[in-house]
Amino acid sequence: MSKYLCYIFLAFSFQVFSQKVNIKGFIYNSKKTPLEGAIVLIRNSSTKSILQYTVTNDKGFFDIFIDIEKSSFIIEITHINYQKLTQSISELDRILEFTLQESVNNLKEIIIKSPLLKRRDTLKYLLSKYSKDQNLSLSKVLSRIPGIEVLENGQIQYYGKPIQKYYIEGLDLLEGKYNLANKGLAVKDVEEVQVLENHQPIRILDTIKFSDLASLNIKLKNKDILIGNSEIGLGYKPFLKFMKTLPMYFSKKHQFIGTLINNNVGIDSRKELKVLTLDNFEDYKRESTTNWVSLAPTGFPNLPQKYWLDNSTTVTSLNFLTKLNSKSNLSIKILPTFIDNKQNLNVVRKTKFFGLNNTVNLSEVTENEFLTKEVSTKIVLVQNNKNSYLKNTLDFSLEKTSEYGGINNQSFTQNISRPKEYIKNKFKTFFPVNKTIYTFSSNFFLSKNSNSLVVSPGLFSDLLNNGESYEKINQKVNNSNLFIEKSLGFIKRFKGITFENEISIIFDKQNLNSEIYVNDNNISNNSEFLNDILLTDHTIKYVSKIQYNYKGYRIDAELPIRYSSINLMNNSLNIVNNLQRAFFEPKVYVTKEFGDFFELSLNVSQRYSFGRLNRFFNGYILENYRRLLSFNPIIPVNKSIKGGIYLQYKDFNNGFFIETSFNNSNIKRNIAYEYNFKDNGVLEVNSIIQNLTSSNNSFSFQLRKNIDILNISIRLSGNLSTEITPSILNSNNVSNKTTNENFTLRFEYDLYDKLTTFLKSELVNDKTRLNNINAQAQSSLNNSFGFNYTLNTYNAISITYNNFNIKRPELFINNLLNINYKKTLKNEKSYLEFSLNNVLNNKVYLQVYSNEFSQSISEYKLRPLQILLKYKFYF
Amino acid sequence: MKKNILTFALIFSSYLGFSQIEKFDLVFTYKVKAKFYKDIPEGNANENMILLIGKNNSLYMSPSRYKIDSARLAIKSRKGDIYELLDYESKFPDYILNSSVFKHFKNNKLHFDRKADNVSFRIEEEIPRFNWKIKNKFKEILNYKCQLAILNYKGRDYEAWFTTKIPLQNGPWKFGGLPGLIVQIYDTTDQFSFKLIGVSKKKHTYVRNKSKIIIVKNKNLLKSVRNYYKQSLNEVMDGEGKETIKRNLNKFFKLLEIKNNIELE
Repeated sequence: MSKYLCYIFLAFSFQVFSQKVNIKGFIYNSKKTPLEGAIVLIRNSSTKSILQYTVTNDKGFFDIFIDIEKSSFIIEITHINYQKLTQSISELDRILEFTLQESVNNLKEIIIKSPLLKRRDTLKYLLSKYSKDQNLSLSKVLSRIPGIEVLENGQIQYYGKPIQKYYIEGLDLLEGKYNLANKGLAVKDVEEVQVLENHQPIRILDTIKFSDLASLNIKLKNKDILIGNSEIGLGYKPFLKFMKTLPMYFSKKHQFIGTLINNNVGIDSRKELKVLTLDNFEDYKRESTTNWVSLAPTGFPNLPQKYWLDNSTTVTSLNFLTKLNSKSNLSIKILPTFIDNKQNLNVVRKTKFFGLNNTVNLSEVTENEFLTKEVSTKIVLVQNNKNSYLKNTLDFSLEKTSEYGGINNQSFTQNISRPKEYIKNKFKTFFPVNKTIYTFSSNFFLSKNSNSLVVSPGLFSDLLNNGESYEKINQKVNNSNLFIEKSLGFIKRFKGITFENEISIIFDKQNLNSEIYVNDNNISNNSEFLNDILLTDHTIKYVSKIQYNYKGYRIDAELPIRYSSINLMNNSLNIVNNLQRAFFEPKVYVTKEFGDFFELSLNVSQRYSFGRLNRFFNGYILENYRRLLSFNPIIPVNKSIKGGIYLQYKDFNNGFFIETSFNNSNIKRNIAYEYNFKDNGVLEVNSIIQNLTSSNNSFSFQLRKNIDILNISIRLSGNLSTEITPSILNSNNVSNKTTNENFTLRFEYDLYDKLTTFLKSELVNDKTRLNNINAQAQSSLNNSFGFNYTLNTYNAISITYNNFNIKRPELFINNLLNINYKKTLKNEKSYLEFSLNNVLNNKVYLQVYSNEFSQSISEYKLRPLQILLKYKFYF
Repeated sequence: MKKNILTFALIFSSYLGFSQIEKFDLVFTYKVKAKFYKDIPEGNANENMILLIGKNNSLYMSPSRYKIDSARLAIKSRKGDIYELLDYESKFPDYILNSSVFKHFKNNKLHFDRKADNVSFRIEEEIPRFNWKIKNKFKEILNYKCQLAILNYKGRDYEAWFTTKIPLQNGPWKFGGLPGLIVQIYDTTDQFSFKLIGVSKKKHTYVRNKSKIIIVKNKNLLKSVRNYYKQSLNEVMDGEGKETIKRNLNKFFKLLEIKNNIELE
């Protein structure tokens, strides 16, 4: 009764005061342990609507306040793993207690069909969607496709990585020279572009070796078609011409792309034929034939070629492909190329040679002319299917180079003729044995190279002509090289370590013959001026690569062991030199990240190098009009030990980054070089048997800060390095210490893809000390500004400004302003392009070089203000 | 099973040092539609996301990413190589929704992780207290009787349909706090919508690896992402390609900037 009264009283009091009611309590499970995460709901008992709700804490406690107008309500307690409890409550004056009964979670499963595991192999892009302009070239449209970028040299990248293969209708006609097709094909010719992600071009490796690179396949609209385009350009001044024609033929069994380009507008058209793919398996780098004689060095300006290249270039390239057998995927490709290139380079160069006691100044006004004619052909036979892969590439080339260099208004003339020929064959196959894929490759290279340099009048008269001046000297050098390499390799993974193994046998044979003629008399009966050398090298090499991850450390090690037997036979001196040794050349790299901000890496390596034949001939060879070389007939062995440490700090929150690195290297040589400078700047180089060690220490840093609100990024970087090289200068042992300091401050401002600008200031201090005495010091300050504005595909302007201040110790100042403007007008089948180059008509460009014994300032002649009109049409 | 989990845990903890294993008992799959861009249809999302429910925690992320992350650890633990993972990764469709939400109810913490390349940027905040208004309006979704609740959160008005039949105070993305699971939620302009389409009782574990996490403040997120990519660009050698890459990156930044974000404030 009293309870009942109490209820009435309570209900009455609520109604009267309409005050907040507090409901609290504990919820337990059947084992009396508090239940956390249970939802407690208070509902209106008549309408069942939710008045208030909460969730229990880790003690199973809940606490609810309700603005209540009615006295009766329902408490509903639910938990995902328990049975629901519903109860009317009326006792509000005490702490409530509930027990939930466990239940099997009877939540009904709703299975969805997994959209996953759909291999994203090929992405197809209908090209017409990306451009309304039917005549726009493929290379311009490609960059509109998500993930694709086309770089200035024509290389296509997919998400920052170069593409692996460029196929047209599934066939790789161009062997990586895809600039031709990419610039030649237009939107109207192409149906779709297929991006083959993670594409493994060698089918037998498809399931074994993963590739993270993509390839492109171009699907044409018409499967049997002859298409192409031509360009004609005229300009002034002097008379400028540009001509290009590019016919293409495609059918099911045959493909052809040809091009003929001729220009004198400062474009090196040979670049159109550049191989743009990185082909790991054909990474067969072989030093091409040495140039034994050359014109006196001038270097090249560090500016884009269009500003200075004075050329006349003709390039013809023909590319054929025929499918021999569709079933086994066997095809043959024949790719001949013809090049005819003429180039002029005019440089005024002032060089300072510093010796121990005296400094020699040399001033050269150089007019150089280079002429190259080259015929080369590549024949490729390839079979690529699921069970086998083989590829054979036969390459041969004939090249004839002639160079002419006049010094100081013909005071000296240099004439070079340099015919070269080579034949090269590469064979590679993959075959499976059990589950391991083995690879076998065989390389063959044979080259012949004849060099002739005629200098008039000749220098070095003391040595060459008993001190009497003479009219003409002719240096002749013949060099041949035979190189054979066979290798067998396999990849295996064992207990988490990836091993890559390869064993190779190498045979290398080089011949060198040289003679000197003074005034047409052969003076090479004296063995001092004669070379007759045979160098053979038999090497067996085993390379194992190991990659291992352990507790956040990544360790990469390369452990090559080689055994070489080198034989140097000097017939002119009747000397035979042997070197038989095993070499171990380990390379270890360890890296680790610490927390969010730091990354540290260390590397150590040891290497041996022998120097090539051009470093140990004994008879004198005249390299250019003022450089005469001869070395000791000893096989030079250089041992270098390098170590480095790198530390990085990255704070993405504040856009602040620091990178520092320190590197040290020591090179031990068994040969010392002796430099003899004469008063007129001529140089004789000899070698002496003497152990020497040179060392190099360098420290570099970079600080970067991005100021986001202003779209500006600031970068301060610096590089400090010291190199100590002992050598022999004019018969004195000297220790040459070169210090270089370099500081750069750079601001960048970008406005998305329309505008990019930069402002850069670079301070360089160079110092050379010979035996602790200052030999030279120089400092330069280079300020530059760049501005690129791209309004759209048809309108673009770029401006660069350079200001140089060189102190050595007199001050040189050089300013260069270049404006380049390009506007394109188009109609249905043709384009008209107008461009202006070097609008301010700057004449020269200044550049400084220095090395351990000399320092020079070069003044390069630039192309003048030029106008060019280009007309392009499709057929 | 327990033993298995224990060995599993031991392997991982010894291997990664900084990791933490999270266990989940339920998985809810939502179909998520998000209009991030007006004019760029391929930038908009129409994909599935999963909400994994544990005892005191929950994780909301892309199922592709969940599987790839799990595979990464499995491959790492048996010391497999990177190619295996990349190969595995290539089997999944690309996903646009690359952020994840982890809620830890015991300490009321929420981790919002946004993936950029191979690192994640994390915003740490408290589990938001949503000011829901429950309405007496009902409809049936997936055979569940659902009730309407409305909300204004960070500049958007939402309508949510929850069911007390699934007694979980949770939902997709950051949403939660209703007396039952959110089965459907959308903003009133229909730019963002989440709808339950799948329920699974399969147990899951997920190892949260802290080593590639960069903690940022909410207002700094975009800035940090930009800084990250700019830094990556800085590591590219100078050359004629750099300018092009930069231009493309700037295009991407512009996209980030004009992106229609779910949180307006």
